Amino acid sequence: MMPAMRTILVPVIGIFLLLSSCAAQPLALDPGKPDLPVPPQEPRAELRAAVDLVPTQGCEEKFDLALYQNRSIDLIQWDDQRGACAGRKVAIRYLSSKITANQVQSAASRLARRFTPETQGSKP
Amino acid sequence: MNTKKRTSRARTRKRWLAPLVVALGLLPTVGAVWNAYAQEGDQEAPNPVEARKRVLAKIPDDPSVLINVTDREIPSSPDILNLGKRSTKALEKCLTDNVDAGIRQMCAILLGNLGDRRALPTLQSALEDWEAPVRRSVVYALFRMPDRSSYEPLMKVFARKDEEPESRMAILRTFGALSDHRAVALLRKELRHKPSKAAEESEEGAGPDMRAQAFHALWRSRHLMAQGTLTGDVAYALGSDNIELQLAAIEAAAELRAPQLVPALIPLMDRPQSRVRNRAVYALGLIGDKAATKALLGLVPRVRESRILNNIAFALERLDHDAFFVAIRQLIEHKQAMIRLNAAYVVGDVKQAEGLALLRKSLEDPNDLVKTSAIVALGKLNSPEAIPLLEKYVDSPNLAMKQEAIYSIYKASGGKRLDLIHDKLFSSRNDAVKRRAAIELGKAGDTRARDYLLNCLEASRCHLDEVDSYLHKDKDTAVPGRLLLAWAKGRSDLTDIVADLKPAGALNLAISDVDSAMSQGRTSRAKTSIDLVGDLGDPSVKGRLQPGLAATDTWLRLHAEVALARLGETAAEAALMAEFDNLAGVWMPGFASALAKIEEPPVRARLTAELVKREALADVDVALAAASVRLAWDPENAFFRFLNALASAQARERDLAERYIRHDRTAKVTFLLRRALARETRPATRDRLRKLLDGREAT
Repeated sequence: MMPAMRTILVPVIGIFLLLSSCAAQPLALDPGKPDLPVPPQEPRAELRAAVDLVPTQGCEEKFDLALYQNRSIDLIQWDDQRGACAGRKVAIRYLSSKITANQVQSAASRLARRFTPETQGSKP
Repeated sequence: MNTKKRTSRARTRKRWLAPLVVALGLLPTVGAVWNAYAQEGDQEAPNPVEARKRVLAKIPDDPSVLINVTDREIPSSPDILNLGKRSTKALEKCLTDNVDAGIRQMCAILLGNLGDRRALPTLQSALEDWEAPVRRSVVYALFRMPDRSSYEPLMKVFARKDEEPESRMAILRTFGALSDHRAVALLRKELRHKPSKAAEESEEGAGPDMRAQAFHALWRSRHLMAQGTLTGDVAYALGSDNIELQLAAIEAAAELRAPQLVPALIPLMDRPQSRVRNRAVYALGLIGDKAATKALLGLVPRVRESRILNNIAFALERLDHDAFFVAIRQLIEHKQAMIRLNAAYVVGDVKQAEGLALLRKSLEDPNDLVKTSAIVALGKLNSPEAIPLLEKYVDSPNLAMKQEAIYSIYKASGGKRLDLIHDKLFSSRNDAVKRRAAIELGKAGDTRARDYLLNCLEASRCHLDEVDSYLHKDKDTAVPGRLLLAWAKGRSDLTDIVADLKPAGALNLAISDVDSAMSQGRTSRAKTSIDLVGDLGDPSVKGRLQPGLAATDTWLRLHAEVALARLGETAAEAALMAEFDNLAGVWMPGFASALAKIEEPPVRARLTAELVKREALADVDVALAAASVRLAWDPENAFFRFLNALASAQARERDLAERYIRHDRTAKVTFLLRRALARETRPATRDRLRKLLDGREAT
């Protein structure tokens, strides 16, 4: 390879590698911005799970407020068993170009007593 | 001698002749006047109903028509409001030029209810009206249409030493709505203005203490204040001697959740007023600062009412988990049964696993009510380990214990023990027991409760909310038929469920009901039936709804337009948008609710563009009404308009956004609120989101 090309290619490859590794990481908290609409063309996927939450007052809300700190989480929707902390079903919609299903599961599992995914699917 | 007498008589005749001639000359004139009065007495006085109709008809086109009306001719307020903003000019002239103070007052109120900002200059001038009730009504109207241009004219009136206290209080309230820094400065000054005793006792009097009113108004404008300043004002109010001010400040402290307010709240837990004590404890729990733990623990042994005990327990559970369980353990074993009962209740509500051991102890209590409270609490723990403890009460001769044990087992088993509810409770001859069991069976979709639930609903012993989900799930054909029958007998509250289930024959019945109700002038029933026709979705009956488009009653016309739009009548869509632009501001929420009923995707798609345009208008009544329709249709996208509104620089827009969101009880909006709260960085907006969510969690 000619030296001039190496001079150009190395940083380009380096940048490419850096960007690739960033794409797979969940977005960190983005302080200073309120909730903003995400463009409809942004790809989304959904993770459904059976959940036992940490038993406490407002267990469902506490889970949501913690998980939403990750901006790659798009919407968390619960079954209608309001007030119950155990035996719940949840659907977590996430931005699939920014976070993987495993990462969602990992984050959710840290916030619940039990988090058992049911199905994984992509939404158009 | 004869000559003298003759001369004297001649002089006397001459003296009376002139007046006689004059009188005779006037006789025809007197006669004419007399006849005129007599004829007037014979004519009929104008019919007031007709007179009002004539005036009403002229209002949109003749701005002067209300200038000379009296009580006899002035149309009613709803009739004028029906005309919408076409009546603005006439109402303005009424306010400036009618001599009757009562009528001027009515016109001012109507201008406020219309919300047409073109009337602002007239209203601001009318603050100089001589009559205090008129001025107060003008202030109300300016409160409904807050605008910074109103500050100076309001201030002029407020500053008058001879202004009535009620007007000054109303002006303070309006200052709070203006979102104006000058108003905030004045309100902060009034918050600290305590009338002195001497002034109160003097002849002139000092008027009422307006500090609470000033605080409420300041709170409305809190988005204009630095957080530190706001917290300082709340702390000042907490320390005041005015109970209403303290209560308002405690509520504010609960919303702000500022730890700096804990020292000011703690002393309030010892106030003689129960409301103050309870709210202070509640606020400390919400603030969640451990600095309050010691004070709360110290209060526990001295408590003498169950509500405050529960509030302390909940507050402690938030602040210090370990301290909570130390305290609650003492209360479970307290010498007073009432306290033991409440302690068991609290253990259930906090849903912690450690509660199981405490409640096991409560089950050994000598008092049956304490035991029953413990049985209920065990159900709330959602723990299968509670089931063996509860089994022995399933056949208890104490009916309350038996019931609660069965329901608690049902919950603890994750809904697997429905048989217990059916076999032991639904079979009971006690109707209250049977009713509760039937509703629970219905929630689980058990068809054995069908007849009972239908009878219960038809007899209005069960509320629709209690049986709605069951009736939607049960596919038996008897259900929609019986609901339709009940609807036909006058149960308008069943309209939505009949629309969902679409029983055979519903359309013919509904359209006939429209015809009947309209011909009899039963407007309320007509609207319900029109809604059902729209829901049933058969365009073949469009023609039968057309007369509704010409209705003078705005609401009847709106419901007809919505139904026709749903049935594919595009002209009705244009009519709906025209209503939007004319409708009175106070009627916007009702209009938005009616429009939100549209479910048909093509109609929604066509109307959405028009709604989005209106969401951007400066008139927040129209803008947020349009946004609320979209919130019903497409919550995920429409929600952001409300988020912007909650962060608005205008207090009225914030308040209205809160109101609409509170009205939408759907789960989707709750989920969206949580996402917004998790990511919100603007303090005032975050507090409002928190308050909205607290309101939803509590219900």
